[in-house]
Amino acid sequence: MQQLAKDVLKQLTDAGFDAARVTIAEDEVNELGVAHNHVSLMRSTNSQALSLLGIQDQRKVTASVSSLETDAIKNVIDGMVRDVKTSPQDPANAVAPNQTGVFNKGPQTVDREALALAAKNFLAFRSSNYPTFQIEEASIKHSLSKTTLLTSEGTELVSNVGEYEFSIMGSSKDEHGSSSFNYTGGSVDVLPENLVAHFDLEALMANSVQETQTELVGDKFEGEVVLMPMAVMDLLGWLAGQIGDFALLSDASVYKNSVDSLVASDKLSVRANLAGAGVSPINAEGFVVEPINLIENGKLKHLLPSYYGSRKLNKPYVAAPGGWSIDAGDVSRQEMIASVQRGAVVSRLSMGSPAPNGDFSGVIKNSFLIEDGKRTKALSETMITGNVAQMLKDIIAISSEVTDFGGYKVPWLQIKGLRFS
Amino acid sequence: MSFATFSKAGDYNEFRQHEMRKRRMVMVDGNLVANDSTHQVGESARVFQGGYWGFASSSRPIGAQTLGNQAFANAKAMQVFGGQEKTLPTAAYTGEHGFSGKQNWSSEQVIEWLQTVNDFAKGRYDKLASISIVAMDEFHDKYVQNSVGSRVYNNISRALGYLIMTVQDDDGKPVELAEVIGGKGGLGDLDLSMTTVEAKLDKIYEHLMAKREAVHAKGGLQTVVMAPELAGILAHEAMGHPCEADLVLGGAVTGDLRGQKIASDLVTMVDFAHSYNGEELLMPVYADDEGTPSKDATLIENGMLKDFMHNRETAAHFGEEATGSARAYAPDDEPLIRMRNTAILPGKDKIEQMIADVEDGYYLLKTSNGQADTTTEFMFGVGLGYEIKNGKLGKAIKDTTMSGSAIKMLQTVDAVSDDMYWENAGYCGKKQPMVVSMGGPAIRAKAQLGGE
Repeated sequence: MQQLAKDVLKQLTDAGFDAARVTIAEDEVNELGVAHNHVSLMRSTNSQALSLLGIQDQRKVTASVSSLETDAIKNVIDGMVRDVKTSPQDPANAVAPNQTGVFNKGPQTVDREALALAAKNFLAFRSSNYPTFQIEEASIKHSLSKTTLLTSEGTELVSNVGEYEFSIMGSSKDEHGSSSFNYTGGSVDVLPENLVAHFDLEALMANSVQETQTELVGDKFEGEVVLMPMAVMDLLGWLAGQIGDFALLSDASVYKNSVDSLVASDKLSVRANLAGAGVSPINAEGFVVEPINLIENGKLKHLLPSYYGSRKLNKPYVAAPGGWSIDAGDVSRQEMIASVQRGAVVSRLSMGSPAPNGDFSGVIKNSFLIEDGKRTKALSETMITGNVAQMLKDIIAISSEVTDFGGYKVPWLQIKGLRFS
Repeated sequence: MSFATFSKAGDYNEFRQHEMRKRRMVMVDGNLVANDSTHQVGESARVFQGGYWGFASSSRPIGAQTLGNQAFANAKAMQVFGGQEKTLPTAAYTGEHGFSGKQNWSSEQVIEWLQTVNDFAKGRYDKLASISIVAMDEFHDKYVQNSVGSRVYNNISRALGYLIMTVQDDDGKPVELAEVIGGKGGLGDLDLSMTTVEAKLDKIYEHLMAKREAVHAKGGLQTVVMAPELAGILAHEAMGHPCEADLVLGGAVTGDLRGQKIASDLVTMVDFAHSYNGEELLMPVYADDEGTPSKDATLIENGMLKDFMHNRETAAHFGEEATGSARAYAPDDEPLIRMRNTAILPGKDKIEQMIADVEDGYYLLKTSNGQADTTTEFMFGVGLGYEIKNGKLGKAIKDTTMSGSAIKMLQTVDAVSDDMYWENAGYCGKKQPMVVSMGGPAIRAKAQLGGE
């Protein structure tokens, strides 16, 4: 593929582009699907895509096509030559310079017998231990993503990333009713025979079977939440949006001038998780990702605009990875719950996108009330209201246990000052 | 692409050729931050054998026979889990359905439009902090054949223009609102005239000025009048998903409530296949990606829970007719049960009177994302709303979330307007994204709001 990428790069420069980027991606996926507690589907897919970026006279155009045939490539380049003239000039347009490397990471071939064994063991475990937990949908798959990326500024990258991925969504149903659905999943380099020890999977099923009987929270009050990993990832997602291109370019980021300032509790440190299963060593712009610390003891260390965004805003560029790790804290999950006077342990937040200023209200799902340090009834129709930026500052404890989802390593967070209704 | 000779191995077999073209341009404050086009072509085969599915796809034109054999081999490999006897329904469809719209806009026309809208907004609104404009369209051409005799060509297309304006409140915090112009076909089929755009921008700015001074909604159970723009997402999230038969089999509470009264008599909800009142809808599906002829699914009729949406397999499980609801988003996706055009049907009330009758409540106008649940407990974000005090609109409210048990909430519906508003923006997410449309009238009910 490298030779084809070089040929296409030459075609782009010959066509008049001052700078160009060529990415050829080939993906192979083998997936075992589970529906309604039974294996249902074996799926094997093979796809390829050619993605091109061209810059001419500071004008940019991109296009992608799934065919690598000569005529298809020529048609795409002809279209780019036509379209680029209509783009506005922008000196911030550029391609990645001088990035080189060949990266092989994770399992490069699929073990289909291992997929079958993992599925068989997991389904047997569910059936004997949590028979009222209903798998609406689950999948165990191996994927191999091969990427060749070249730019006219000397970048030559090859990345072959393999991983096994597991995902599950389900709910419980018994004589009392149905629970709210919940989900988990993640990536590993080596597919274990028993998946239940990973991704908090057994905890999810154990909690779910207790959630078919729920109660309303009762009155309105201000209390604490103990966020489980999936809810913690919602906080990280909002933070990533605030320090990314769209919020920065539209001047809507609450963190635009916050580098080296406290944006979170000094207990919080968030670091790049380059070693995480499935985390790509390169990014789509053509940079090798960097081992950065995003938040150190509550201080924001970087904004994460794209290469274009960084040049547009005259901000430093860092190549961020697709996975993050939150440092473990010093209290156990049980100690965390025991310290809460009134609040809830929250598995999942169901909410609209928080407002640009961080204000949000969301329904807490798969959650249990905490009263006087004890986890009590499962909750339904309960909302919390607060501000995500303030929540990051109001973290009062981080659990010593950290769940490894592959790309993300996430502990529980205890946060004060949420309004319950 | 065209129909092909394909392998008919297995108990049931289907072959799909799928071409997907997408275009997306984004301008933020005059800067063109995205100018992307994608063209994806692929073939897939799916085989049902001994109770299991095998699926294979490729973006290379390796041929129907080869893919069919791979899919068959995958289905046979599944027999290690123990075979089962299952017979799928055999309804077949032959037909070709496309959309003949106007000539689509060139990239040059789209960028010129983005720039014109940007310049207009920057010049007109003195408190505007930022404007982002998005133009996108996508086209799906699918040829579906199967071993029970279906030969279907479907073209699904849609175009969207988003106008997103941001101002700052007195504390310098951003306040944002968006409006969408959407429809069938490409960008050339939308009304993107500056007359239309100006009217929409003026309205957004007027709401933003009110939202700068917004107050928190009162948390808890409130009387709400949902504008027609919200009824569709209510239909989709609250009761649409729990009536997808695969979710029913996954434990959704609706499985035990069929034939029971779950909503006010005023509520009738339908997932339309392709037409309503004799007019073709925004997401017309005449036959699905399993080659099944599509038919309307009446989910709730005068408050009674009635039908579910089916693919061939769930139809066999429930002993019912497949509704033609199985759709795949991308060329390498397998068909899943997806909604098509989901709506609450209009009633006889007037929206003005529905507001005037409320002593203390909220008028909700715009939503962000939403989510459903197996319990029918739904939520969606509310990006724009106003207080109602003594029958009159009051102050704007800050962003909030509306939630609750759909069943409890639908039972409190006491007024349904005679409006009908359809929209096809956004994507429905369920393993794969999907283009859908949703619609409805204004509705008055009691629902939980997040707030003080």
